[in-house]
Amino acid sequence: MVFSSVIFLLYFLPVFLCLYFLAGKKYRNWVILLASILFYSWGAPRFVFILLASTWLDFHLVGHMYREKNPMRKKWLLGLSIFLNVGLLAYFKYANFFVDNLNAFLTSIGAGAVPWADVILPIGISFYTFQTLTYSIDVYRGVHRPLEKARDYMLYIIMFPQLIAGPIVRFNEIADQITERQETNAERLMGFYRFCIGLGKKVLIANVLGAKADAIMGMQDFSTLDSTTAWVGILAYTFQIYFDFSGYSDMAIGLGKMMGFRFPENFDNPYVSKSISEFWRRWHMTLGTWMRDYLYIPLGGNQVTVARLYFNLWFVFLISGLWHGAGWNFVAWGAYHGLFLILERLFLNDWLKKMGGFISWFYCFLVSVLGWVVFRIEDIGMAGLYYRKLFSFEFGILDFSDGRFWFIFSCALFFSFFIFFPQGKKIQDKIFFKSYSSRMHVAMWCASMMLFVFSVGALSTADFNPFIYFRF
Amino acid sequence: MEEKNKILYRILLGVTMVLLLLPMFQHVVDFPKVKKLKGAIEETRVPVFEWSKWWSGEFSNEADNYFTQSFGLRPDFVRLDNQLAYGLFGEFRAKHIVIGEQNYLFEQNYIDAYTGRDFIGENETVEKVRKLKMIEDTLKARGKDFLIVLAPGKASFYPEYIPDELGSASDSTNYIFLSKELKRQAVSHIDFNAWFMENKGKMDYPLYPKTGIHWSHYGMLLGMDSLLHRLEKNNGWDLPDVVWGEIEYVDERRRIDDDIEQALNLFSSFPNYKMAYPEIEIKNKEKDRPKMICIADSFFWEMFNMGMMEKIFNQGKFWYYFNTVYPDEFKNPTTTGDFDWDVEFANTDVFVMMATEGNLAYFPWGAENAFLEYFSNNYEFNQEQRENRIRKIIENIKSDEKWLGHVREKAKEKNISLDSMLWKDAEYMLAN
Repeated sequence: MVFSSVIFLLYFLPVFLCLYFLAGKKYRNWVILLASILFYSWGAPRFVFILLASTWLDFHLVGHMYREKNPMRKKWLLGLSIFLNVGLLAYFKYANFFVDNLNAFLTSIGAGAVPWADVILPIGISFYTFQTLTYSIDVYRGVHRPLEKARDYMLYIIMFPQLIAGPIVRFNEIADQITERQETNAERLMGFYRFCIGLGKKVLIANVLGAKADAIMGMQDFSTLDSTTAWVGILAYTFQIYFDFSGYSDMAIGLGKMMGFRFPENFDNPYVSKSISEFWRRWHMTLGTWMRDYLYIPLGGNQVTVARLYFNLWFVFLISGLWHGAGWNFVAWGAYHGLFLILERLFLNDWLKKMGGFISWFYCFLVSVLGWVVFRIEDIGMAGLYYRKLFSFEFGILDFSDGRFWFIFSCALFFSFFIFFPQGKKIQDKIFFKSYSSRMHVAMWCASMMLFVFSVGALSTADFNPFIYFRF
Repeated sequence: MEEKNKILYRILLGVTMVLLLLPMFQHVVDFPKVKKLKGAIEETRVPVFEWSKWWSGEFSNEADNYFTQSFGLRPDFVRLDNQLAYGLFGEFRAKHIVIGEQNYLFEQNYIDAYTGRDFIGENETVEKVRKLKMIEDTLKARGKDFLIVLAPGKASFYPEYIPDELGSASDSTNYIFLSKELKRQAVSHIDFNAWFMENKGKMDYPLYPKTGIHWSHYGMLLGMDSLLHRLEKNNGWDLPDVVWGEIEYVDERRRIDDDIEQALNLFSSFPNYKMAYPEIEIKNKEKDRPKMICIADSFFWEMFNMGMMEKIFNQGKFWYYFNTVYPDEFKNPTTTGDFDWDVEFANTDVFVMMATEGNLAYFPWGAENAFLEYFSNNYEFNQEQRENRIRKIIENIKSDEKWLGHVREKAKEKNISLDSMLWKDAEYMLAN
């Protein structure tokens, strides 16, 4: 089930909220858990059992590990937990990729291919694997005690707002809220407002941009593409992926808030960044901090030789790229970002500082936009052709006939660079991070209802509604 | 103050929940009543739960589709979105609708037909008409009438309102070639498209509406009148009388005169314009009531809805796009294949095939091949058709003095009558 679907918005969500609000406090986690199982099994029924079984096993494994006094055995139990979770991810997400490449190699040297039936990717596996890992590692590190009930652990992993596409909620960030959380009507309302903002970002902005991006970047043959159209396509995709993913995160954060959970923020105006390292502090922040704390620092972080530091950086970004998808284009995308991070550390940062804010922003925006080409186009050869078209400088006439697209594109530009304006940051803080006056509540409620109604209206007539980050 | 705020939050949350639940409530109890959407809308069925379907994900897909198409208050949400799209971007969400100059509405296929974009080519048109001619000959040989009706097309009628970027008139269109070929091969037909264009601006009332795609109600009545007279003249029938009463010329659209506008499903309306609505009565129903089968596109609907098939003809059938059959379809799903064609062909007195320019590329939707196949598999039709063709060949021979002389000599040589020789030669020619 997806948030931006009629069945979720007008059937699942109202019924869930009614049951949740009416249930006594001690039954609320059950309501969430059962609703989450229904939510997950709606789209991927065959995988819900794998998910439940693996979380149940992991819960007991980590419980054993916590109680184990022998450090060596403790480490082994941690290893086993990591192996279980990463193994599932590796099998479901990367086995096809590995076998395809192995077979390509075997065929090239004249050997026979390995027979293999493609494995279907369970939805959201990349996200929940990372969350299960934080549970094992946080408990191992002593950051937090393990949960007492398997139900609560399953709830943490399978909780429907963040199960499918994040944000990646680390165990220590939410552990206490699972057993004890404060819920007020004011917070619930603010959660609803946040949910509606996310829904509007996804349905009213990302879907419109996505249709254009798909029409251009989904072409079978780029040979007839002119530079103008190619740039329109990649810019549409640039803003589509941001509004799509950040919209989903807003919806998840909002839903969490309606239930009393405080999920971490996932985006902070990434396209205003002035360096790629800043971009990664603003884009998919929960993935960035996860990679830092659970991969980069264990590899030695900054406390290593310069050469090793650069290797660590690049390695983390290669893994990050691969996490997004089992394809060489994602590896290339990760390597591309890793390369710019290293270049920035080597000399670019100093150079950019001298050039001033606008040049730094332009550099970073251009790098991130160009990165999306290889992210969007899975075939490396086709991506290469697209790059050539972008820089062929064979400009065509800019087609303004699609008024809706250009209007939405202008809105996307405005909201993406909103905090460049003097009042932008203040307004953003007021909407997202401060408590509201009663007047502000009424205004936000009206605005949210409008967004909700317009979004449902758009969904009732549209058939283009995929979430990009679902496949990761 | 704090207490006041708490009450406000409770109210806002309560109203939020009520509003969130409202569409589901409306879906379940069908209250409040919602004005239905207009236009061709695909009905989705309530999904039936089966474990195997759930396991494969098929059930959730069906349910998603069902709820998306049928959720409570959907028509109003659709109208809202359509209104926003139209108000903000001048865009229509309904598929294939084009807004022309001065708010004249078109459908894309009519413009494609007018600009020749859907032209099937001369050879295909000739072949199509050849088949129609064979059908006509076969039916006429059995004493049944056959008539092709070319309904008018809005793009041909109002080309000045077509947006420039969508193209201009073409010499190679299905309509131009078909009407030419029907004349050349002498297939019985009425060309309303030509008549409408000739009479544009000359009539007292509009023949075509601004915001509809079909002929105006008034234009349709003129067409119906001509069609009935033609059938009477061809067959010597005296059909029940269509009596025209007072004509209301009003500043509003009725019946089908704003069918595209209705299909846009907007809250707002287009500016009013005057249309004519004659009062019609069908009298003297005791007169000749032959049976008609009309294979047509939507241009026949308004005639059908006027009661033409039941009040003028004897339980006539409307084979819509040579697929569904009306009025039977109103009771049970019925297609042309559900009938015993022997009975249908035996009982039917006249076959009419009608289409507008936007549908000529596919016209008559496979009926030509199905009819010919039926004739060739049916001995009675086949024999008659064969004999009819032999007679035509004999006529050709007789009209050519030289050829006739040659046959006369052969008859003398073989010592048989001239008629027998002519029949033999014609049979030989038909076989070869």
